[in-house]
Amino acid sequence: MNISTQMTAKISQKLRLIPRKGALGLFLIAVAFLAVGYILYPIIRTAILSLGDQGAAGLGGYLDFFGKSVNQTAVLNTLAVGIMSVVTCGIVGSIMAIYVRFFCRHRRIIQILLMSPVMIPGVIIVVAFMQLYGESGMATRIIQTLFNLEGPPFTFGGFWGIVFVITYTQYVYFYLNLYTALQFIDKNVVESVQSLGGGRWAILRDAIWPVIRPAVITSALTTFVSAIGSYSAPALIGGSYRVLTTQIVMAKTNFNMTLASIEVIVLLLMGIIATLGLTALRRHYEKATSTRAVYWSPQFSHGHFWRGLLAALIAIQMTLVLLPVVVIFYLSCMSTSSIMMEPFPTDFTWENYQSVFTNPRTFQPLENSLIMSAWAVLAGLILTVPIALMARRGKSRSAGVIGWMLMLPWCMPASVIAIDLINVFAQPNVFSFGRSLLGTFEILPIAYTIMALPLLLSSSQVAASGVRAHTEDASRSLGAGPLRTFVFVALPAMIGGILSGAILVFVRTMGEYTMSALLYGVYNRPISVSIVTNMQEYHIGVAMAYGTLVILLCCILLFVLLKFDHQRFGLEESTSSNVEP
Amino acid sequence: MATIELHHLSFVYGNTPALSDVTLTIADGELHTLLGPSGCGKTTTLRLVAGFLTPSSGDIRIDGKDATALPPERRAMGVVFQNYALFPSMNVLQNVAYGLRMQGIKKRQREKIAQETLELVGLSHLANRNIDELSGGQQQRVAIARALAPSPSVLLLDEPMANLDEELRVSLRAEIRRIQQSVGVTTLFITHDQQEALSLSDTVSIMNEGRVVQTGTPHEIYEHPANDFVAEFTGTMNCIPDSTATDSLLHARPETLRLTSAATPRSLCKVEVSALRYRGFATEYVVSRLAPTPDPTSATAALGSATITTPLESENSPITVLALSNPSYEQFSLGDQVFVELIQ
Repeated sequence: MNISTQMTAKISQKLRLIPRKGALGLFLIAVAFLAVGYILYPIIRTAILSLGDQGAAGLGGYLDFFGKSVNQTAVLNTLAVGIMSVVTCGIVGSIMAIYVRFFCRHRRIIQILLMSPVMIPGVIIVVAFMQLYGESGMATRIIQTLFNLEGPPFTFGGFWGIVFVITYTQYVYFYLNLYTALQFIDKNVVESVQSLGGGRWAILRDAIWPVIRPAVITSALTTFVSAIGSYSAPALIGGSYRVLTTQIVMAKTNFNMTLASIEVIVLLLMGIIATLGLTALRRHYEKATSTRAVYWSPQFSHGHFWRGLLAALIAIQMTLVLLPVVVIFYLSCMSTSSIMMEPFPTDFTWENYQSVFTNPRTFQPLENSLIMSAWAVLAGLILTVPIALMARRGKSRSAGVIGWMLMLPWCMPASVIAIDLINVFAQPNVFSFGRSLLGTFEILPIAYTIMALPLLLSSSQVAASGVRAHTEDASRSLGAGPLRTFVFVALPAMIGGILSGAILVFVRTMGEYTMSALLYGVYNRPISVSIVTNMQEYHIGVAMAYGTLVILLCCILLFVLLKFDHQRFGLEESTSSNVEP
Repeated sequence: MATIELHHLSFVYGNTPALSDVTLTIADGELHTLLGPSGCGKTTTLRLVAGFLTPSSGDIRIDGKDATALPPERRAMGVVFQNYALFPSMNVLQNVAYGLRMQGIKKRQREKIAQETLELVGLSHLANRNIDELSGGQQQRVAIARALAPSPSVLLLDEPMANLDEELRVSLRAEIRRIQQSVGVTTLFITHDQQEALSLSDTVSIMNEGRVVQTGTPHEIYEHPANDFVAEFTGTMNCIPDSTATDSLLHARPETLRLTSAATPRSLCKVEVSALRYRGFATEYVVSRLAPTPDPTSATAALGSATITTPLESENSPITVLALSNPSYEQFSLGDQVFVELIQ
């Protein structure tokens, strides 16, 4: 072996930076280029813009910002929404997880129903809630009639309306994570506590809480970042309740990009601080979970009352979960005039659906959303799957660094991503190959892709860990190069996890509203914007038809997802229940 | 089939040298074993030969041609991994046919070859079975069949029986040897089990701390270990003060010693039976010396044609004696005071 090859081998080995194959190296360079250009640089550009292009002297802009009470209110309100959402989602999700894990007889069907909010785009939920609980909503009118009230019994909006909507859409993360964590409670540990004199409180504190604590922290982080970045609920039902996301859109609409950038940076910092803090906390409490010794199956023989109360709570929660779906479908089959004129519409019609499929102007948003969501998924997978494989077990440090960059959007609310892109791509630059992207079709799917990267990468990482050790080496020893090894060996092992991430991303981008509201144009108007526009123009039936079609599509994808990756969602065959016979 | 030559091969993990200046030649058709404790560099050597690692220095030649920089898929080697590494998305036949598929052989032909290879390992009846439905021993055979089907010039086995129980290991050892001899493929076998190494191999290299310590036939390694490490790694080695000569230690394997109830001219020392283990074919006695021994600080002992100089560690080290189960041999019990002698 000659000297230069020796040196290259030595350097490559030492740094693990230079991939053996040129193609892989080129791929990494391309991904790094995109990650820097579309994630890192936009954040930096927004930070610079927030200083009014004055460098450090521009910090005065932040002082001015925090000096105004309206901005202080927006910041505090945002924090309040984030924290309260964590509390409410935690309560709702925990109750459901405990019930389904320890009490539920028909586990599979209940789990599918409880997961349905994941499959329904957020803006559609908000619209459905407005139809249900708004001032002239169906549920509102029922209660008003039942109790013979003069006016609506409650106002659906403001802080609690926003928290209600977020709880509905986000509790699933608490539910899933806790449901999974509960199965790792070791019966032997519980019995140890009991044998040492510990009662129920001690069992909860010393046997259960340490096991579920990391899941609670992870769920809290996901919920908080999602809640502070929520836009559809504050925009549609928040009324005068100001949060940073609505302020950002307002500033952007008024072409005050410096103010919008400041607000974006403040929101971003909230997300980063929460991510760093909670991640550190989770790592502190995370224990290496070995295979659980003995599954804990508590017997609640003395708790008929509590069991009954729990079942009642679950029934209420299930009703609240399913009601919007029923309302969406119901209203999609009603004429607009009937919806406007009657408290409970009765004029059945298919014309809303006919309008969607026969009117090009009405069909276009659906088509746009399908194309853009598919594009986001495909682009995201191309970027993340190889990175996940290459970064596995520290094989490639450069892939690990790039993976870190791709995960950055995890702590970036959607409006942050959108404003970052506007700040950079309003002008031609090298990352867009000399074009301005603002107003083009591509800018929205690019934004969707950025938003999708953390979820796709984490799904791909989990999937890559399922590729059995040495199978790739075996494939290569049998004459298959890296590409054929990936296609024939790695990909089949990863396909379940990849698909589940892809489907979740597809569903989320179909209903994404925050970025869409900031970035859409003539060519790429998505379905979420169309739903809101139709609502504002009182074409409620058409908006509901859009919603129903999206829900149906998402339900089909959900069933596909469950077939491929049921373990992620804690779905098991219904075994004998844990309820005492 | 091919010869394998390793010339001054070295490999460094980070700052840790894993392999230092390894030079080795494996003849065409030979089954050569690398034997050594965990972390001695045997798997690293195999992975370098397979092409999964690039050496820091030195070169690898296959049939005289420099293969050092060749990627694994171009080395025409079959590899059997410790965890078998079978492809879970393929059934048995598809796994075995995989290498043939990579060679571009048509489906009918490759299935035929795969089926023949499965017959060689005695698993043709399981061709359509899923991998997860196989036992450990069956998976191991499928892994061997998969490695052999493309007719590799070299077969590499990385502790393929590490995950099997003792009984299966014993039966499969013979199987592997039979298959290797019938195919005639040059084979490099990795193990930390000395019994496996000595029973399977044409030649053995003992490795320690990244270096080859001794290479030879199993007989040479066992009977004439180059040093204490080799001696102790390849089996139990007793150090017995020679009562017939002062300042002298005898190194003797357990099976070369015998216990007698009465002293004989060949008796080395008087002992007491402190433990015994019945192994079916033999009884293993552990005896402790009773007779006073000289107190030299070091001793030189002769073992066959090799001379080992050994500082005395303890004058009361127990001695292990392996007595074959034979009605003509005396049987002893715990606490019996007997004598140890060399079997001539």
